[in-house]
Amino acid sequence: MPPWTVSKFPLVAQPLGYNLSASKGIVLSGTTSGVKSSYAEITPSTPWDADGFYLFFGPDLLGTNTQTFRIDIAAGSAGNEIPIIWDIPMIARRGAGNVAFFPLTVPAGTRLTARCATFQEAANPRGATVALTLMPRTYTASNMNRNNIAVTYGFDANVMFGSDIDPGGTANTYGAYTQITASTAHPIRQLIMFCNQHNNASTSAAKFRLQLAVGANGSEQTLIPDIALGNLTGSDGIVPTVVGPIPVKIPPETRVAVRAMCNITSVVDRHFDFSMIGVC
Amino acid sequence: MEWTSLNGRYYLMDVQGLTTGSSNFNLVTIGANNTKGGFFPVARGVDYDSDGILINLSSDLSRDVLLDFSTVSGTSQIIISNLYWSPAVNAAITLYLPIKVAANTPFFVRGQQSTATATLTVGVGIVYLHKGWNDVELFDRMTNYSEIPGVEVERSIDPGGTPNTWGSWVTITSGTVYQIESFLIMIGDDDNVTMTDGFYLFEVGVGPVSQEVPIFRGAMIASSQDDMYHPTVIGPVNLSIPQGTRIAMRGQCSITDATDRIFTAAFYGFD
Repeated sequence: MPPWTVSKFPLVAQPLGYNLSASKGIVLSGTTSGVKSSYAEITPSTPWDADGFYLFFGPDLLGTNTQTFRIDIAAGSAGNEIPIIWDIPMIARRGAGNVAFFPLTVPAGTRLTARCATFQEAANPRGATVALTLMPRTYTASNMNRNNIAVTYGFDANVMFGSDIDPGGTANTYGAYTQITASTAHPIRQLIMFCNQHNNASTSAAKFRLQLAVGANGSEQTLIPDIALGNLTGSDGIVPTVVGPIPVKIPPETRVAVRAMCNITSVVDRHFDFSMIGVC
Repeated sequence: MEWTSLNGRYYLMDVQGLTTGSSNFNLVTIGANNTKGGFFPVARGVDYDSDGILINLSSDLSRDVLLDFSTVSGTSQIIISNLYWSPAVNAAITLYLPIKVAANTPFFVRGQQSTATATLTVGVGIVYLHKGWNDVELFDRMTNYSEIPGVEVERSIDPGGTPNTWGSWVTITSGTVYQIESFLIMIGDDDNVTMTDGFYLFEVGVGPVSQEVPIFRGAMIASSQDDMYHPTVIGPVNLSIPQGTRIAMRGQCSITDATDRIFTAAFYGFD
């Protein structure tokens, strides 16, 4: 028997912010400066206590422009929005649809909003589209932790990218570690990793393996070994862009670093950027 | 430190299926003509019980594949049947599967694809997550509910000829064999290499024909540059579905091209 009690049937997830007339989500205005736009409302009030949500996000227009985004999800009344997740990264290459599950509690009656900032490569700044599927409180179990905090690590708001990961000039050999954070602010129970391809609009076909490690500089020990990544030369994107959430236990005040290997040595194309959101 | 309870081990995930001198994983040669190839040993197992695994997949070609994961080099112990993946050239994916895996459990993998001539290999690597380390829901079994043995695995979902309007429900299974506690959906393009850009929504519903109740909605984008949907995997989604329930899916999209609007989906339940 599982160590939890199943709630009554049927359990139904609540879609929020979907625009059925366009087959996408709400639109977040694009900016040209990297400054975040005003909040757009996803829902004025969540219907019940939730144990997390799936966030579907992508560019609000289909086309070839490459554009860099960072998206915030916030809770609170109009004028009092507080980001609960910030700087979710996205590259708006063609077809850049993404999904990430955030296992965060959301109390009933919460107003949820979103905003974004963009960095444009081309002349026409785009916005983003987001939709959210709220997950019901499925289980009641004394040994299950519920999560209330999400912290973004490794994102550089000044350049709108995650931390630069360089596999190095020797093919199929791990490069040096890049520090994602010197010290985690909270414990991490669920880890969501984001990989993007800077604003590189002419990537090379490549395969990568990524390792996430913890520990002091020079004494890193692998925590998550060998995640597969690949460059898509059609859209100049790297996939998967979102990995996780993966269950982990990273204590607070832990240094986290990432390294990678790949099968190409191009000084530009071998690079990608990495950020992560730790949930506890 | 929360790690000290585990015999001083500092790293608690182990990967197997690596290829020395490569940035890929162990290569599994995929059978052609919709016929499974032979089993390839991918992982030999670890000396601890695992609470979940990560499956890494990497492909050289844009080709839909169906993969069987067995704990022996044969069909008698297939624990993941016909895992559907629809990648673009050089695509990769990491799947988190919340299933219990006993110590020293190896994995052998075989696969199939539709074309007759092309040789296709898929890189497959397994990451074992240490038992007791995680406080997440875990399950004993992963069942392929979209599979009709010998007939089809993935379902074609047609959003219909009217843009941004739900298409018809497509039955995934007429009745779940077990009570599902969580499910995973794999999205694909049925080997379409001339896709059209488009916004998509999909829904999972339960109930008899014409009385379907949507229980989960998601979104994706079709990419003509990649000839691939993004994302290709949704879940595991922790929703309970009673035993004996009919499951269906439907979609809507912003395009109407009779071929390109159709996507495929495979549905896996955990219990």
